[in-house]
Amino acid sequence: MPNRNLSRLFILLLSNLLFVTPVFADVVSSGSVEKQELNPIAIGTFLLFVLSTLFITRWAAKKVRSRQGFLVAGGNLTPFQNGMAIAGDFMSAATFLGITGALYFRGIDAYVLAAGIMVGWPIILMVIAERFRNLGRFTFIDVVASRLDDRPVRIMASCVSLSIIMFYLIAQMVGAGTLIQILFGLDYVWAIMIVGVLMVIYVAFGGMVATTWVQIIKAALLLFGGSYLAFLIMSQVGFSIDNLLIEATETSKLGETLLVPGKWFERDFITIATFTLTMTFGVMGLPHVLMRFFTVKNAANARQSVFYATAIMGYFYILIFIIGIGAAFVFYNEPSILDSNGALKGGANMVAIHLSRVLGGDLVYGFMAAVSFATILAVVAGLTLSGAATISHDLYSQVFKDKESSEGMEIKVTQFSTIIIGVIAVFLGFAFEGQNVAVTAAIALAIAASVNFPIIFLSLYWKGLTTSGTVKGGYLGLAVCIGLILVSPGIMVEVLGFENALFAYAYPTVVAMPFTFAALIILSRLDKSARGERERSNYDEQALRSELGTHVEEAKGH
Amino acid sequence: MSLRLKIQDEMLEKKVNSLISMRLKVAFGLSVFLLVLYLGYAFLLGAPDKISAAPVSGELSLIVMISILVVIFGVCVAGIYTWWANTKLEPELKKIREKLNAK
Repeated sequence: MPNRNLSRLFILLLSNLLFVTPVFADVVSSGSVEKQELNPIAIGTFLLFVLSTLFITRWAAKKVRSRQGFLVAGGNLTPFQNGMAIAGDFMSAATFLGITGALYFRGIDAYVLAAGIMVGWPIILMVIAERFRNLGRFTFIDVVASRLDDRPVRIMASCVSLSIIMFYLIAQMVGAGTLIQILFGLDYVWAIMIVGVLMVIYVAFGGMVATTWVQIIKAALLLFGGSYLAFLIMSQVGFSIDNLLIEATETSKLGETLLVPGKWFERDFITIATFTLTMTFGVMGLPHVLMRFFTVKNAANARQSVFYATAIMGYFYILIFIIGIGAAFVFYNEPSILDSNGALKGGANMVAIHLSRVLGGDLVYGFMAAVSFATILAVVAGLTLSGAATISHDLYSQVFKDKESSEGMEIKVTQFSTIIIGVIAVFLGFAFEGQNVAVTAAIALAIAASVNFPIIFLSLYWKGLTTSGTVKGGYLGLAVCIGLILVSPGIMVEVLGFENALFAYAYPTVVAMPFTFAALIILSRLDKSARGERERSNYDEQALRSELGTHVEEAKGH
Repeated sequence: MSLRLKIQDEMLEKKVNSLISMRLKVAFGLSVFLLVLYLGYAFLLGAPDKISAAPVSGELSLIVMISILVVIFGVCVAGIYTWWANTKLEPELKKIREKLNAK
């Protein structure tokens, strides 16, 4: 095996889970991304965004005094604020740019990305959110460890959690640098530096309050911009869905097949199953999203938050449908969006951005480009905070200091961890510049769905789960998940050059998730230790607390 | 999914168990409904054209309609559950919490 392939494999593994949508990865992966001319409107709008968010960070920094205030905004966010922030986490650049591009190029199959999330969220609301809110304090690991042996469970869950966060973060940095070259005409180096510095400032000084407000502002801007684009498209078809569908199929390069399945998944049921499982259950295991349930006062507010988030996302995904499908006739006979080879300038993820220029001119284009940059910034800030909380709370305070550290010290460790994560992210952003990240097919979501979700679900609903089963099953699940990714076509065929892959599917979830469930259950059943018995007998108390929330107030201070 | 929790007050225990059981039935029932809808959607993604592209109304095909319905039902289910849990379930839970704290 050539060394070059090994290094590519290493790079791909580290940068593997870039964006939720492969189409988005296609664009950011293209090594031949052309730097565009400097875009003053985009830069001006972005500077406004940065100034307002820095002002908020300064305000938040003065307000935040306690560990709870820093990590989970003191549980004082309103349901609507939290709902906007949760929705913001999912209205990412990958969603906005990726799904619109996927709909335009691959037709209706691409809408599975939105549908999966829209099924996942109500289930999170009904099955996870309130039990989570009632049991947890700062991170999802608090919930998992609530009746199990703290130390081994926290170490294992932190490994899984940090893996997901780092995969996501590295990929976002590489994607940000590349995308910003296209959108703003800024050099890759500057783009990475700006993202790195700003995310550290937001998180290190403003904690969850600033991170949430960055997300809220960005979500509001994206909703506004998306609504405006959808309005412009619908105005061209007399606000008729029928006309939209007719115009789109008549002008699309895909023709009638634009709205017929098969262009992406080729009607293969296992591919569809593994993709849908990843999308739906992956959202239930993302640490930076789960952390948001602790930023509101109680379970009732957590429910309301999730409802607001689902409603906002639902509205946004309808806009995405109109924009992605409508692009077909907006781009018809529009040579300005094509390069000399007849391909879309900048690649598949530029559909929404080109659309904003064609429909709204340079002003709307600049605005949408700035919002896309803000989107990346908001997501990396959330990821960084979640990673820093795992290091400071789960590892430093609970494991290394055996719960003996002071609140002040925990905040300092969080801030220090934020800087370290920021530096590492920037460094990796530079190291992986121009690398092929085409395999970045949602490994983070796959790990979240295949490892985190089974652990979380069983810890909440199965009496038989023990520390031994959780730790061994968790590590085994992670190993199987990563192992299957290594032998998937994305690595074996595209990176290593083999003709066929040992595992035929891009996502391991269809195998790895049931495997982790089985491993957790079997290994817990095999655990006959006294500790295991004690943990089983503690389940009723945990279940009562998780449903009634009787100990929430006192748990806050732990 | 059944759960029998033990509380010292027998009456209260009955009430708690019945409320939790009701919540779990509603939560898992609605979740199964959504998952079945999603399964139908996934099936359509793999189904032949004559099924997935069958016209439903005007230019609207079955797959496009189900795609949009999944999104709309997701919001509706979240809304129904939140309304039910916060207006019907939560006041009962609050009473139980107060009784438990008073003991």
